Amino acid sequence: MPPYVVKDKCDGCKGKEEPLCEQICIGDLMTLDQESGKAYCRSLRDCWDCMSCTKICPKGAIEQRIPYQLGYHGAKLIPMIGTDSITWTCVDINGKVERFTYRTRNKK
Amino acid sequence: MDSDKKIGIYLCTCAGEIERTIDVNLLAKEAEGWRGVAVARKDVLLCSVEGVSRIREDIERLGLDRVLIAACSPFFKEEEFSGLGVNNYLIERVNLREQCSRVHTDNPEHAAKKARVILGISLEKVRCALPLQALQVPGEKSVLVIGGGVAGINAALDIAGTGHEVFLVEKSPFLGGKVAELHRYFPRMCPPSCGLEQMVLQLRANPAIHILTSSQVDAMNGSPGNFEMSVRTSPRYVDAERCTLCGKCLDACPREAVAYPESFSYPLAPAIKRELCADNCTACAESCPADAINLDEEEKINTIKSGALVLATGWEPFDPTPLTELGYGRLENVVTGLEFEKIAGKQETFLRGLKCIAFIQCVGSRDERHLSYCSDVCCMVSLKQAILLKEMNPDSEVYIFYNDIRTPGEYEDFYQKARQAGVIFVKGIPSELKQGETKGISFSVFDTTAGEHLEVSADLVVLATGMKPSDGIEELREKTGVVLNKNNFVESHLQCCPQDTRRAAIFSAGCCKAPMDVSRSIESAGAAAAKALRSLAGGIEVVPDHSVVNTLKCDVCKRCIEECPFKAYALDEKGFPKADILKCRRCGICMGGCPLAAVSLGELSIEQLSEMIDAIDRSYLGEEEPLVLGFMCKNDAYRAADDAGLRGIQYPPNFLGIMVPCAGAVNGAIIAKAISTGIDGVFIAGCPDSQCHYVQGSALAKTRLNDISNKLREMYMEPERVRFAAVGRDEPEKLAQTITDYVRELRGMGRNPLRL
Repeated sequence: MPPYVVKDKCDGCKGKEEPLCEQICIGDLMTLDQESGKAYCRSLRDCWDCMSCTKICPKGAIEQRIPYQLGYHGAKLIPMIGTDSITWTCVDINGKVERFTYRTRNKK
Repeated sequence: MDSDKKIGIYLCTCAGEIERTIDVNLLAKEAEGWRGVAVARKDVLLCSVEGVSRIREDIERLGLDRVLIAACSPFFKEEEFSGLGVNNYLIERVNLREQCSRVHTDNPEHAAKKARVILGISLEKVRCALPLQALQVPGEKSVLVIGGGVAGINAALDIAGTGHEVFLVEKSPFLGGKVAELHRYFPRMCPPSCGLEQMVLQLRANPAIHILTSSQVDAMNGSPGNFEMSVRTSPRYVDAERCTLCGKCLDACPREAVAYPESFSYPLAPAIKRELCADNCTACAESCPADAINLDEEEKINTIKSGALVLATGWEPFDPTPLTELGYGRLENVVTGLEFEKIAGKQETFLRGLKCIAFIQCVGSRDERHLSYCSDVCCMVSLKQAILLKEMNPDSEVYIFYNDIRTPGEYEDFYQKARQAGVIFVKGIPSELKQGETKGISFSVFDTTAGEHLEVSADLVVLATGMKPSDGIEELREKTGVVLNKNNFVESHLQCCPQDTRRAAIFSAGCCKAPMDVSRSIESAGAAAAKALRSLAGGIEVVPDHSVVNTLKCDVCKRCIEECPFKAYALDEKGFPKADILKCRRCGICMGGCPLAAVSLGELSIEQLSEMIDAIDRSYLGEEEPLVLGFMCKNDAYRAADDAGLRGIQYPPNFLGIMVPCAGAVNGAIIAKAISTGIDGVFIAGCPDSQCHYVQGSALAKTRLNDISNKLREMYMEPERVRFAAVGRDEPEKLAQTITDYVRELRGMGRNPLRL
C-alpha cells in the first residue's frame, strides 16, 4: 500500500527541485507537484512499502498505509529517527501499541 | 578507542560554597575511575593563581590532552581558564555552581546526584571535542562605499582618515546626494553648500579616496574580506581635468542636456545627459574652447577589490500624486517640501510676495496605504521652511496642518521658535484641495483641537512628503544579498548592532537604514565606518568553528541553504552545500534543520550532543522521577539560568541544561534520540521571537518541535513531552517557574513509555 502525504505538513523540502522523498525512493515514485509544491506518489501500485520516504521526511508528513498482509485497516507503523537510533511504534487494529528502539549506525 | 585520551577533571569548591551543597571530594573520587580520566581533583578555589598553576602543572606532568573544569558558569572567569597549555577548545566548563549547587540548595542529596550526571555529560562533550586553531585569511584592506550623499561621503572620510583605501561609488554625475538640493540645514539654518564644500575639500585632499561618479555596482562576487565588485561607469562626455567651467556648453545646448555643477560640487565639471540630446547635435563640443567635451566617450567597467562594503544609498521623496485629494500635479502652487527648497534658493521674491502659505504634514507617512512609518524629518523640515517664510515676510500667514508634531530633544526649541514667529499650528489634515474661485487654493479643514471647521485660502501649499528608500536598493539587495525590512529599508538588529546588515562585512549608513536627518546620517556614517574598519583590522583571523556539512551523509536537499538567515551557504565544486567561514555566524540553524543530521558546528557537533545524551543516567533520581533535558540558547536562556543561580532561585534537580548557540540549532534527531532513549521531557528555551539574534532561530525551533509533537501524538505518546519556552535574558524567574511547572506536569504524565 502506498505512502500518503499529509499536505498540511509537507513543505516540499522548501520548494527545491528534488525533495528528500524523491531522492530516497528506490522506485523513483515520489515527486513534487509543481503547482502545489507538495510531494506525492506518482504510481501508487508500484510502491514496495519500504518506508524510506516515511523515515526520511523531516516534517513527518508521510504516512504509510500498512499492506493487508501485515495488518488490516487501522494498523499503523510509525518510525522516529534519532541520531543513532530508530524507534518503531506498531499499532494493531485493536489499538494495541508496541514500541521498539534500535541502535543504528547513522551516527557517522 | 577513546581510552587513550588523557582527561583531567578539576572540581572547584568556590571557596567552600559549592561544597556546602555538594560533596566535591566524593565526586572527584568517583570521577577518577571514569574511562579516559587521568586525574580528578578538587581545589578550594580553581580560579586563584595557585589553582590555575596546579592545573598547568598537571597538564605538563601528566600530559593531559583535555580538561574539564567543574566550577562556575562558562561566562565567568573565561580568561583564567583559557590558554592553560592545551587547545582552548579542549577545555570544557561544567556549570556546577550557577546551574547546580546554587539552584538546589534545598535538596543537597539530589544536587549531588545531578552534579555527577552533568559532569558525565560534559566528559562526553570534551571527549568528542575537536582542537580548533585560528586561521589567517588574507583580506583586502580597502572599503567600497555605495552612495555619495552626506552619509557616504562621511563614511569615506572616516575610513580614509585611518589610512585605508576607499572607493566611493555614486550613481549620479555629482556627489552630494539630496543634501545638495537643500536650501538650509536645520536647526542652525546654515546653507548645506558650506558643509558639503568642506567635505568635498577633504575628499579631494585625501589621495586614498577614489571617487567614481555616474557609476553603479553591476555585480558582487567573492566573500567578506575579499569582495570583488564590478562597477560600471557611464560616460560623462566632459573631461573634468580640461574643463575650465567657462559655461559656454550650457549656453550652446539647445535642450538643457548639460548638468552644470554648483561651486561646491564634485567633480567641478558639467556632465552631458545624452538621453536628452538631439540627434547628431554637437553644439556643446563645438562651443568648448578647452576641447574638454568628447561625445564619443564610452562606458567603462572596473573591477574593484574591497574587504568591506558600506551601503549609503539614501532616500527618495514619496510621490504624492496618488493622494489625488491633495491636488499635487493637478493644482498650481502645490509643491513638495523638496521642491520648496529649490524655490527658496532661487525665487526669494516670489516667496516674499506670498500672503498665506499652508504646510500639510504626514503626506504619505504614517499611512497604511503608503508609508506605514513616520518619516522622521518632515516636522522639522516644515518648521524650518515656515520660519524662513516668517523671516522673509512677517506679515504672511503660515499654517502647519499636522497629526502630531514630533521634535525630540533639542529640536523642541525649534518648535517653540516657530510658535513665537507666529506660525499657526492646526491639528487636522485638509480633506480636499480645490482651485480657489478668484485665486489661490482653497480647502476646509476640521481643527480637532478647537472642534470647528476652518476655511483656508492659500497662495502656496507645501506637502511634507515622506522619505522612502532610494529605488536602487532593490537592485542592491539582489546583488549583495542584504535583507530589507517590510518598508524596504536595510534591516539590522536595531538595538545590538544597528550598523550591521544581515550579511557579514556589509554595513549600512544614512537613510537606507531608516528615515533620518543630516546629523544622524553623519553619525551613522561614522558608526558604519568604525564597524567596517573593525572588520578589516589585523587581517582576518577566524576560528574554524563554523558549520561543516558531512558530505558522506548529505543528500543535497538544500534546506541549510534555504534556512540560513545569513545566506552563508553555497554549493561547492563537488555539488555539496558549504558554509563560507567568513559569512557564517555560528548560530547552528543549519545544524538544527538538517533532515539527515549531517551538519555540525566546530564547537558543538551532532555526534557530541548524541554522546552527551547517552551519558545521562536515566534514573539518577530514582525510577519514578521524570527527567527533563533543556536546550538553552547561549545568548538569553542560558544566561537567564545563570542569573537564577546567582539569585538562588530554586527549581527541581530533574532538569539538565545543555547550552546551544541558538534555539534553532537543536536538530529533531537529537530530540527524537532523547525521547526514544527514555528522557521524559525535552524543552528548548530560546529568545522570544522578535528578540532572536539570529532572526528566525526561535521560530524554526518552534516549527520543528511542533513536528515532533505531532509525531509523538501519532505514536500514542503525550505530545507535551517536547515544548518550546520563550525565555528572555532577564527572565530567570520565568525560566525557573517553567522548569518547575514542566516537571510537575511530567510527573502527572507518568514515565516515558520508552524509558527502560
